[in-house]
Amino acid sequence: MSNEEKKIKMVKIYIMGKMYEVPEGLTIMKAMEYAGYKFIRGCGCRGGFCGACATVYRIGNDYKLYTGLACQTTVQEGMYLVQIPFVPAEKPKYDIEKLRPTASTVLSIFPEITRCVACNTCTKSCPQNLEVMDAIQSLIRGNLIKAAELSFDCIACGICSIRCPAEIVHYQVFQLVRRLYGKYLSKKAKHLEERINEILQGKYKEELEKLTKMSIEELKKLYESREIET
Amino acid sequence: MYFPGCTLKTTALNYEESALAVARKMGIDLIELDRWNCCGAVLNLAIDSVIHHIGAVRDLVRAQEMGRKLNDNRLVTLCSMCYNVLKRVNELLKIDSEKLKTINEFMDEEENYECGIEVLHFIEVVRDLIGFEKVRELTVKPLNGLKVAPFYGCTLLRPKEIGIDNPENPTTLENLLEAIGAEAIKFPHRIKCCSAYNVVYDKKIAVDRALEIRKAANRWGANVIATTCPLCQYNLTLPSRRPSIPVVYFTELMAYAFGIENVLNPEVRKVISSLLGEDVK
Repeated sequence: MSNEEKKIKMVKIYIMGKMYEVPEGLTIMKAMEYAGYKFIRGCGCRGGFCGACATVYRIGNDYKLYTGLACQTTVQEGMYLVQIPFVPAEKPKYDIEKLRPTASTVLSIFPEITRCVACNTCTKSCPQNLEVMDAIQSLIRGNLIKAAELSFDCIACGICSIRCPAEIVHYQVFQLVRRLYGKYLSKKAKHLEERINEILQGKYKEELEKLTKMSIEELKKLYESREIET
Repeated sequence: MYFPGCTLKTTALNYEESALAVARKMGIDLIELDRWNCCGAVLNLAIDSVIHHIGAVRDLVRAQEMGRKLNDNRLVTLCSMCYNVLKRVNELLKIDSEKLKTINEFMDEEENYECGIEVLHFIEVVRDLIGFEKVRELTVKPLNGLKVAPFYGCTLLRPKEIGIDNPENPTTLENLLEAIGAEAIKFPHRIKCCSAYNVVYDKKIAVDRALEIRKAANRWGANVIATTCPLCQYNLTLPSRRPSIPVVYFTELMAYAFGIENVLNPEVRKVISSLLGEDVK
């Protein structure tokens, strides 16, 4: 072991009950890989966006049950960790074309929403710090737009749904909410529609064909000399 | 401060609009809580089922936070159900310090609730803070000749510890209706239950009860029923056999009498106008 390695402070963590010493400053995900685990599920973008690496933990004698994303949370001394790679949830089928964009549509597909007693456990557990309970409550009072706004940053990790005593599947609910909002209620981006029309009319066809016929070397050269906005 | 409740934002929008307008006319500013959640809708009678009281307490905490900024501790509701739940939970916590402690410890992300909020129904505000004399003064279009059956339902009056009036022989709505020039029909069904949430389990119970109440109002000579509660309104207007008698919120009648009928839902406005024998513009 070199001198440089010796300097790194190690912390004790527990992975599914077994103690490991891992270098301080690693994320939970990297610490688990350091300890010998290999992720084939429960790991995705490693950037805090995909929601695949939900983690539940306690620290030492603290009574609190903490939650986080394994790729975003750094290890602490005395962490007891468990990974939640998948949260079982009812995933109803619906035809978005046939739905009306109202909160009552959402309530009819997910009637368990009205079981919410405002305990706020979902909000406390959200690694994205969203006001999850307020979003659910917005639906009960008929405000779909507010629910879409409050749940906009949901990454569907599902932690709220395993904590909810009313067994609401928030992340599936919010996906429907945002689909309805995006399709029917949000302001349409005019420039996007124009661009799609241009593509459909073949405006970029010639240029694309030119690119597909280029050699790797030519492509590399083109890529390196591209214009970059700063 | 004002706690709307879910129905005021969905099925009872005209109740909220008329009440806010009437309040402004009387010089009262009902300020909606910045954040609020469902009160729980029905008080859980298992008083040790703490989790079912959490929603109401959280709303009281929101009122406590906002009340500090506004230097006011009064929380006004329009829905009789919300009034009932918020008030009963509030009273329960005032006498049960153990329960209060459990709830405060559970809601460790919020400040402690200190039981300092006073829960009021809007009709109490009209009666006690404004007074019927002032209501009479503000009435520019007295509802002369209108025979109104006041309907209290249960949650505004019972249990008597939190009721706004005598639970067997209330007079608040009658006095208010007379102040705006209408004739209050004291029909015996006015303190009956509208069947409340039975409508969820078995619609027939609600339909039958609504029919019974409407028949009684009709028999006693009323041409409109006035209510204080979105759930009573919903149940009493369930489609069923005749007699069909319009059911409006007391604030809608007040708005009409105050000459601010432009805030009313056009349908409701038409109903009141035609009952008064006025031409609809």
